[in-house]
Amino acid sequence: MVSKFAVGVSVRSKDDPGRRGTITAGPRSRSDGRVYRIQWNDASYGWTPEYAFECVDESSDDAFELLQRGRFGRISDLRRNLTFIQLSGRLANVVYSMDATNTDFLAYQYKPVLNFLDSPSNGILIADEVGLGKTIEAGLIWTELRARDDACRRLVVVCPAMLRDKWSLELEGKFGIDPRQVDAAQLTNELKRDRSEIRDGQGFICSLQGLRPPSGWRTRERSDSRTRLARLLEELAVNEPVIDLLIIDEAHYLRNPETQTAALGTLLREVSSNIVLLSATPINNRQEDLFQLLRLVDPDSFESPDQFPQVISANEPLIAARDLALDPDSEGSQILTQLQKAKNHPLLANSQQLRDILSQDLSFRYLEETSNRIKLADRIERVNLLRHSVSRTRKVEVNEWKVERDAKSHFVELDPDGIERQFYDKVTRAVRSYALLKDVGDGFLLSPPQRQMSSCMYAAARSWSDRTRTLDDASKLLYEDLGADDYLDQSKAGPLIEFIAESALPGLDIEALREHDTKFDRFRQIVESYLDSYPDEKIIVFSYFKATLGYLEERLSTQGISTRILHGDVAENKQTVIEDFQNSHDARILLTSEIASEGVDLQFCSLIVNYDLPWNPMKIEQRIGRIDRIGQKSDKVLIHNLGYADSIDERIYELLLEKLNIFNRAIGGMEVVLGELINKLTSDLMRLDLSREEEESRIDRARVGIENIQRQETELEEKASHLVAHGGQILERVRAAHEFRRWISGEDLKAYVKDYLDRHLTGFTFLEDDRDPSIVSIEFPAEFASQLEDFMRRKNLHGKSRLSSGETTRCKFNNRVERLSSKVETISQFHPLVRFISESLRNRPEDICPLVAVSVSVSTLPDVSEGVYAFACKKWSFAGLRTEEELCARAISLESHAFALDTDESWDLVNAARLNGVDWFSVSNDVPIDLLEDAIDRCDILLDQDYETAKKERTNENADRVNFQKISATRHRDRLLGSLNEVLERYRLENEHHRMIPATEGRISSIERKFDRRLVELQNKGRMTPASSEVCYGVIKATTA
Amino acid sequence: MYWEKLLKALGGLIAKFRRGRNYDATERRHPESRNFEEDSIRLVIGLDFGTCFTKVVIGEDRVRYAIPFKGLTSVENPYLLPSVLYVRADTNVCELFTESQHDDLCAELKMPLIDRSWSLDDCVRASAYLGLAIKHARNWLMDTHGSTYENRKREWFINIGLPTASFDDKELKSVYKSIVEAAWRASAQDEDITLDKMKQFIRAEGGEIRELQSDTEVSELPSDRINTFPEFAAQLAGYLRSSLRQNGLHVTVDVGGGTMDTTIFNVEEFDGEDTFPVLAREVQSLGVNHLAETRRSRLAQLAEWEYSPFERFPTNEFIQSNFNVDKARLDEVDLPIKIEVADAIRQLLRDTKSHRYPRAPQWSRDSGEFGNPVRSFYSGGGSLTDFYANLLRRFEREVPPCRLRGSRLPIPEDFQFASDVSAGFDRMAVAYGLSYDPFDIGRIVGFDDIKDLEQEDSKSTFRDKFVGKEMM
Repeated sequence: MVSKFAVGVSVRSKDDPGRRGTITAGPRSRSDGRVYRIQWNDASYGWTPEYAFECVDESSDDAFELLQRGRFGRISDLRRNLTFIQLSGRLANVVYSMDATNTDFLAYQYKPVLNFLDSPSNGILIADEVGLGKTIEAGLIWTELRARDDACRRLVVVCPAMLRDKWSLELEGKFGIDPRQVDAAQLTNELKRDRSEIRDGQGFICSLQGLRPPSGWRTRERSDSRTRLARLLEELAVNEPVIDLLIIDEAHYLRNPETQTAALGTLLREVSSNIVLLSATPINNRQEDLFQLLRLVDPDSFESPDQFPQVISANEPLIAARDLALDPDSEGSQILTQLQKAKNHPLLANSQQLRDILSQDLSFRYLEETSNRIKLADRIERVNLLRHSVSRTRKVEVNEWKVERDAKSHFVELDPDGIERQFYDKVTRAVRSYALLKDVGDGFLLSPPQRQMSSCMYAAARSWSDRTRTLDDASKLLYEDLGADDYLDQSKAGPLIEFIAESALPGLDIEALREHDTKFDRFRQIVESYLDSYPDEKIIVFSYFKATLGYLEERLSTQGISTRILHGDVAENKQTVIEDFQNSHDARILLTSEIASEGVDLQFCSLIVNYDLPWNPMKIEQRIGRIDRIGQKSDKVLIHNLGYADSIDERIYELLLEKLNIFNRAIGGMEVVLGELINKLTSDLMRLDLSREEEESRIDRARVGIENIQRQETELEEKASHLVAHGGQILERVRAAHEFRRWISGEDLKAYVKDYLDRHLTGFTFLEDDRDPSIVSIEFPAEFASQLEDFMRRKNLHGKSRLSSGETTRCKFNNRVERLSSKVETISQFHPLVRFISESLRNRPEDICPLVAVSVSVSTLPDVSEGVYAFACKKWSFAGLRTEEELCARAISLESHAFALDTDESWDLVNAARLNGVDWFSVSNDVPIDLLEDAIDRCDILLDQDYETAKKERTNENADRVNFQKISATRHRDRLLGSLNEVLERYRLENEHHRMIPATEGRISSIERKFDRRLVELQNKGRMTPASSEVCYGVIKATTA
Repeated sequence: MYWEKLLKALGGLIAKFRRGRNYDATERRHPESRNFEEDSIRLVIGLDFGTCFTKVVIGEDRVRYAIPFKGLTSVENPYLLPSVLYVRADTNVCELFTESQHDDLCAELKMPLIDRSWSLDDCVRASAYLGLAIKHARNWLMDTHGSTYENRKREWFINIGLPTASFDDKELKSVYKSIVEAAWRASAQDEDITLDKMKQFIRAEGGEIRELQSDTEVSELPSDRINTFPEFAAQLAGYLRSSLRQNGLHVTVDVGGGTMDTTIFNVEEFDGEDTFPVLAREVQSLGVNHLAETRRSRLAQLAEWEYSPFERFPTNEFIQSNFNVDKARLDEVDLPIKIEVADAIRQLLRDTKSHRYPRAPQWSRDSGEFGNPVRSFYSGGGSLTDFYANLLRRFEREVPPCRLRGSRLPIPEDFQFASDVSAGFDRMAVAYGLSYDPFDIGRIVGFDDIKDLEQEDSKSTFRDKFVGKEMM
């Protein structure tokens, strides 16, 4: 018999049909027949008997054909297949940022990521309470965006100047981003650069103050760098966005639409594809505050403040319907009533999704299934076009981390006849007299000297006795404490200090104040006792006053306690001092001004001492927030508050702060309003010669005022919750994604790279480290290295890998973003090699067996019981306004034919098999093939039905979105044109700006062109292009063995 | 009389039950076989027949199973079958394990073969032992993975390893093949294996050991299904298919109970086939037993110590603390053996450098004090003991004429065994490699087939001088 095999024939293994190869020699004859040498496509080779392989024919890739012949692929086929799709695709059901950054996994921090991905406006306001890691959440969003879109390159962070260092550290350490702090001129240059020149992995950090355009920047003659930036931003607004993600930290500074800071926000938003706003305090006593921030998130939807209540009211019945859907006791008719109410709202009258839900069966039987209720709630939520605009997590909701606050007060008694009491009374009287004499009602002016004296009498007296007699620099911070936007002019404070010095200092033995420092003595007892009990712990001490801090440093030093000091005049930058303090073996106490109360992480300590006490509860919250935050290892944080007995401080503490329970629970954000209230209180307490009862009554009145604000805030928050997606459901998705590994690991990447190299390259080195298999020495032959170099040049990834040099490089497969270090190169999903492979695989078909048999232990599975399951897996893609891809599966138990797993359960089963499965060689003998064929066929049908449902939902959603965006775009155009036409009209009327007319006319016509293009584009995207493609079929044995 | 008959019948049943089902070599089918075309499947038994322990791996294209011998071995590692045969005194029945005190214990199964002092009885015992091991391995496969293989036509192969030095010994190779052939036949019998029965399968003819043609209907393996390979080459099968592979000079040192087997060879591809020209090899009685014997004879404290090769060799620390031996004294006692072992390896390296392969890049000092290190693998239970492990590590640092770079053999992905003995893959590597198709283990160019090169003749390489198998 003539053999059908010859050198050059393509064959595949019968027992491992995913293994294909080419005959390279033979035949040789022996007792078991003819034997051929085959070069397999996985780089292995060997002599194989004729009975073990077959020719690759046309039907080779048909899963059902393979099934008929009992040819099952292996676990490696399933792994390669799914990993490739997960890495090269952009799947909706994979969280690419998960475990890919140098942060601990905290489920709630992924809530904004998922919200953002679902946000139709590509924007989100993250309004988590202080200390929950908003910076990390923003970094995760950027990581997710980068993973999903290779073209996402330009990250711009805008924050208050004092937070720039913190952002640099976080971006670099946690997210592998090369941070660059830039000013307005540098940012202008950067934004002028072509997109193709943008290097990967950079982040630009700018201060709000540094970019804020000067008022009248449009028309002013002198053009400074901030004006030039503003003009460039306005110019770029008509082009494609130049910033891929804009993060604005402490975004509440943009709440007031009249300010230049808000104008900067608007300008930047117009040139950014995506935006993330961070603020713990987005809501004040005005609904408008929230509106202003939402307008930045989604300028087209939140166009005017008048429309805002209308949007909220349109959503109300939808929220009610969603909550009813999730309530197992609710009935279909109740849900329908709410949905109908929503349908009657003009904003939702044309919603195709809503129409579709209304036509759905909401019978008792349907709602009996919890999974149906969740699906329904999800569909209702999708109708809400403004959903996911806000993500808010409060500390009480976070289960991962609970820290108890333990506050202790130490109001030291003063000897009634002692020097301290005398000095205290003298200064208090002097301040009041000055207020009366000069008729000063301003708490801002009166409070600082009083507070400085309460902080430390000796230090205050020393500084006032100084000839310059100015206020301590820290008083600037006191004004912030009081809620003032602008600082007091030093010249106004001078006479007051002069007055105090003249009234209180003559005859005062300043050194005696040092010798009899009752407050310091108590302080010393506290710290010594703590440091003795906890020799490894450190302490943070806050004071407003530089003079106090200097005094404490000096006195502690004589006690043998080493300290670090941090205030505005310290030469080193804030982060350097903090790092030095944290890492130093000897330094036990950080003495700091308010400078460390914002934007720094001090959670490596669990005790703070307020050497002087802020009166504004928000300031206290900020100080405590430095240690009561994510990462605090201790389950209790200690707060010691120091003051003098029978003083205003003590009364404020007892009547205001304690009653508001400020030390025991985190408070929300109300700083401006509180500032006004506290200022009024301060003014009263300082200016008027009040009796003790009167003082108490004023303080009490302030407390009631604050409580009212808190109540109002709660109400507002409830209203705002209409814009917040159902958190519980999202958290469930996050936890499921983490638990069932819907993310990419270092092992996945190593297998992916190795598999590609084995199949497509010869002459490379891939040497695993003997001790750590994740470390591999890789060397590529010259040609491949040059292809990689070319790819890196094309994608602007130069400097991101040494592999393209062709030299041996030690690499670690670890899906964590890291910067290129000198020793070991980390290969994460962002590494140029992984990107190169994904691009290459997109263009060439792979030999993967589409039918697999896998066995997996039930202990690694989600809620799936032991048994045999047939499955089908497909990839769906929906290209419309945006392109979404999804890997979907359906599995059916072979034991109980009627039992089909739902799509999530099915996908988790298939994914768990990918991760933990082993080969199941005996499948042909263990499972009746006809039964399996029927079951796989049924999975296929179910999946097709799922696809049809998804297609319909996505098409409706797309249509609704496009429709909404068309309306918004038209409004946006009209708004822009309206204001430009006004400007043009003004120029025409005023002679002086006549030369601006042609430019303005040009802008008007380019805006018109841009919006025409946009409308055509939206028209095209309104036609959804769906597709479903087969990924694999197979059988999974879930076993206890 | 009746009771006697009944008891005998029952005894037979019990014996059969205890034996379990014996799956024959090729033909038995599962009654509910499926309607697929019944493809044949190639199954290769890799036999690493060691002086102290025997290891068995059965391989097919997708997976290679380490065969556990639970219940047949008292050692911690179930994959190590002591190379010991028990023969029942009364019936001559051979077993791998016994609880009886009266049975004969035959422990020296391999040594007579490799030191060429074999008798017919030695061969019979070795054959009986291997027959039992093969039978156990095959039955384990079918009991554990029966549903994968029961409906397939199983095409069996057996590869057995030989020390490198013995590989050039054609007569010994022939004896090994005869022993394995007889072992296979015995293994296919349902009955007990007895020494008498084995003698039906094997005999001496004019001083040569030959397997006998059988007149019974037992399965036979065609002669091309039984092959011998040098252990060093088999050991590399996993490494050669891994990403660690490098062509060029290599050293293997296999420290067993009785011997230390050192081989220096080149790894290269020749006509698309892995080829191993053997440049130097030596088997010396420098195994663990020698170390134990020397220590016992020179240290009074150890005079009463009884070392069993089937137990883990005690650590130096254990000897120091339990026998009250000073570290310095132990070092002193060990020193001569240390020199002996180091000299043996060093001499082979020198020979290779001077007249076997003078142009190997590893001798060049260009890239470091001693040039590029030679990749080396240490195997055998002895290589894990303190004494040998420390000694071999020293070669990585200093010893001219070249440095050695000791590497662990990578654990191949297709090797299936209990993960808790993963550290023991080094000991399974030979059996693993032997489970490949005989055509795939590689072409060995024997030591004798490569002529010496003089240093002045260094322009030509050994490749120009050796006579390949196909040319013989």
